[in-house]
Amino acid sequence: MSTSLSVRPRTRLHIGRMGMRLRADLPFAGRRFPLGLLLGGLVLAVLCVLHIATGSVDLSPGQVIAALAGHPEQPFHTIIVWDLRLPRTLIALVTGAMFGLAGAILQAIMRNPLAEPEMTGATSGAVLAAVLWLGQGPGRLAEPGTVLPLIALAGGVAASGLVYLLSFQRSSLPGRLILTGLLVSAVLRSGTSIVLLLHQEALGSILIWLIGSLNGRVWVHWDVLWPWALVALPLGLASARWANILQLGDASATGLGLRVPYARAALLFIAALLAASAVAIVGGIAFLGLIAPHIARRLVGADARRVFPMSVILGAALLLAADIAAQLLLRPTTLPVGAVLAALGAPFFLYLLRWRTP
Amino acid sequence: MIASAGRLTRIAHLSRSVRLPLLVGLCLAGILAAAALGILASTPRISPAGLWDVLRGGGTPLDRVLITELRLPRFVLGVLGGAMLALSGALLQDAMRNPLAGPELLGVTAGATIVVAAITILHLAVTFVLIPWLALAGGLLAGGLVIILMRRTDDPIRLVLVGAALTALLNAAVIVLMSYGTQSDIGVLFLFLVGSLANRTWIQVRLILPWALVGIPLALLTARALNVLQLGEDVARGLGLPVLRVRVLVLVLSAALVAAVVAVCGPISFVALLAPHLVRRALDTSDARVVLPCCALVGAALLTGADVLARLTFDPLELPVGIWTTLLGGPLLLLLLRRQLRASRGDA
Amino acid sequence: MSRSSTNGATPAPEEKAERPETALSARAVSLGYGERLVIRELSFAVTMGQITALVGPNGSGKSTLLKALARILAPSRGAVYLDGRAIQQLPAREVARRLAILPQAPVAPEELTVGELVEQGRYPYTGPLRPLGEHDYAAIARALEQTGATAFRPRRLASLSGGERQRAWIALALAQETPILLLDEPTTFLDIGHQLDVLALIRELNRTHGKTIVLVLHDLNHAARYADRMVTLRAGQIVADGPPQEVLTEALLAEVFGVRARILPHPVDGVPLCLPFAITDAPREQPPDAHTTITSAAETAEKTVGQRAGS
Repeated sequence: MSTSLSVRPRTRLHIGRMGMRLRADLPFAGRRFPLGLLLGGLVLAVLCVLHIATGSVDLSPGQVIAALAGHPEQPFHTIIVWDLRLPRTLIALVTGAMFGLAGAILQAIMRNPLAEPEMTGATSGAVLAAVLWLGQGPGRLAEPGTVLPLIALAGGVAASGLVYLLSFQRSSLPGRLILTGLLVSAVLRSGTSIVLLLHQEALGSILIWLIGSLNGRVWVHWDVLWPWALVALPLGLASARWANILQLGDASATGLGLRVPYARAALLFIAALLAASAVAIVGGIAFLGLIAPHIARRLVGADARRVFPMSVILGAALLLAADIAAQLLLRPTTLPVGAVLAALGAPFFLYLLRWRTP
Repeated sequence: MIASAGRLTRIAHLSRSVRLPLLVGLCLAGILAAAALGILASTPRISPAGLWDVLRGGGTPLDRVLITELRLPRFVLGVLGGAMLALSGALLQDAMRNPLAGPELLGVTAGATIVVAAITILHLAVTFVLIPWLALAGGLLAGGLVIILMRRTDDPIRLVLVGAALTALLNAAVIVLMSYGTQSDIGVLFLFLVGSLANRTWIQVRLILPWALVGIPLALLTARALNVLQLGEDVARGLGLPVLRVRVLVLVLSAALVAAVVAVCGPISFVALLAPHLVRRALDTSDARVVLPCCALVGAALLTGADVLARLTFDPLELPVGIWTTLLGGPLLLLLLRRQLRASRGDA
Repeated sequence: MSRSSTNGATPAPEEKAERPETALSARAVSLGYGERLVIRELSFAVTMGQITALVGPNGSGKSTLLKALARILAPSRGAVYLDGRAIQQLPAREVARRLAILPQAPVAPEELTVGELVEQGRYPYTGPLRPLGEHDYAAIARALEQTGATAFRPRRLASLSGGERQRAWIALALAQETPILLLDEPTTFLDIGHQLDVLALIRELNRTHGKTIVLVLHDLNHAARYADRMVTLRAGQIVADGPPQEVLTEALLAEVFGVRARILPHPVDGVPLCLPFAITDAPREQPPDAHTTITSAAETAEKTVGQRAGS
């Protein structure tokens, strides 16, 4: 007995341009995903080398690779590459990955492609906590030690916890979460303003840190960063299963056997962890968490198990590229990388305008 | 069942006719109190007797200067600015049928701010009088961008997100601008960016006055059109309202109201968002003919009240009013919206 | 399963006492949003192996009851029982292997493909250490075949028509391989052709694959045609319960829906057909919390925020 129904010929519902666009296959969906990962990895490697090569002293990629391999063309190359450039590159790589992943997680649990880590309050919370601590002496920015990231982390996690609690009512709906996050962030930012007003001498350096900068990041900073990354990044990647279920809506997720409030809280915490620990090292970089997952989804589809790794790669790549641009655009001054990323936001908006308005 | 519903209506009706005078009275009382506190209680203190002397044309020279040159204009600015901000928010919320529409969330404020910031930091030679016009252009550009992006959805959350992204973009640009300024420049600009009424004199009032004198009545006049718009675009069109034109007009008007305030006081947040919600909640109506004037009153009360807080809480240190409106307005808005956002999974 | 006498049900005919053992039931459940109760002291037992339709006017509580059965909502009083145990106490995944839900107007990311969607249906059976195996893939393929969606597998959800998308979501529920399916207004947003498609599929799932199905329907004639048992709710109470022939009466339509109608046997197959022609003269009873004042636009806007925020 046939168990399938005859499929009536029906005209497909075109949702404007969107329908046609979506019928085209995504470049790295399905079986081509490993290829996409590989390509991404290669791009990252190239960007890393280019990033190391960029700076006040120009090095060629060949010289960089030679220095990395232990056979520098000139002895001082080793110093430049190993002591000055490499930590900055590594930090850019890892924090970019963390921002990208945090954004991907948030977009999944908020079910909104416009969500970004700022929405959890994690960024503003981390910034406020850090500024409170930094404001007590202008020299602190250069010697973070292990205290600053911890403080920023605590601030970020506390803030996102607050946001979650405030929006929690039997079950927290994404829209409420977003709104609460934005409002709490605004309040926290004004708190930051208060601190800045009271410590005007530190204003200049803190301001730059507010939009994010990789200037002056050396091994000391890396030492503080990598344990958090080691914990948070795998956690984030592993949460893809739950993210997939949450994307289907609260009702379906419950039906499939997920404890929605807990899963959402856990994912929120992981995203906050990622964002806050990255902010603690490089400041409040925005847009990475928004743009990277967006592009990732255009490349690999909506399955979180693919979007998450791709967001990691794209986030790292974007930050590296932005930092290269930041150093080259206005030589010899270096722009704060957050500014360059913000400038990226403008064409991104145009892209949203043209192709994504429903 | 019907009987009890009828009783409910009667109760609502009763208190409704009481609510309006009550609200107006409260606002006026608040404004007067703020005036009194602002003029009398900030350092250096002025006694009520001293105030009375000045009003009659005498009084000590110090008192006279303090009151007429500093505190009075500051108070007037608070009243005008608060009214304009609140009206701007009410206009936007009604025109876009979106309870989360507000110049600060739509990026209008940020657009105006960055123009003013650029003028200040880069020391651009711009006539003083021209500044609000340029701010208006900036605000319109930003707000317009957001609205175009939102043209086909009504989703409040999406609007807020787009506006937030744009605002973040513009804020980052402002910070970059600031990093090119000198230390003193940064300090001054930062104070401006937080939103403050400090040190505003009759110069600023004169700058904002024409905008207020034209903008506020114009805003009040749009009330009938707004009422029709609230019924939905299709219904409004069916009733003969030129929907697009009205929307554009309202947007421009709203941006103008905000731009003037930003040019003089910097970006002050949450008054525009909060006042309409408070009024609608208190009066239990959204008839724009009633809501708009009340918004103006409530806005004036809020801003002057916040300014008093700014000046008096940590006397003699002054925390700019923009910080207070955010610190208090944010949670208040959250509280107000909580009940609404408690999901109406109302379909049985 | 005896029903308490406080739920205002019409007098139970004899056969109800001999109803087969039910695995899913609600006992004296009260549920509401905020302060207002939508269903009160309601007891209801799902008959295994049958298609049960929940019908009733707006605000009667039918969707709420379904959500309570699906444990999407937790009752403020009373409890829902699955296999004799309180459903809230059971581990979520264990429940997911017995019950599957198709919610009203489900949403999913635009780029999601049908294949990726249906794959999620295996979540209750997989774990971090237990990836998808042969049995899982077979279940997915079976689900797609049962709904005739195999051809759509690589297509994005957003590019499908309403009926096709609904079938994809049903395939998701089927991939869970549960004996019980709960469907919340599965036909409400579909055109008539797609409606009959989905209903015929539901009947086939019941008749051929023995699935127990509970669905909320607006259209009484659909309910009469496809359901074995019709349960009518009004103001949070069950007012009628039985086979469609018994339940669908002119008296019921007048009392519950405020509508004057003629019930005729369908000329083609004799199924009861309800033909309304006028509203009754008696004042229609409002749901308990209706405002008789004109809804202010702010209220509408508030509701919009609530609805959108609840995407």
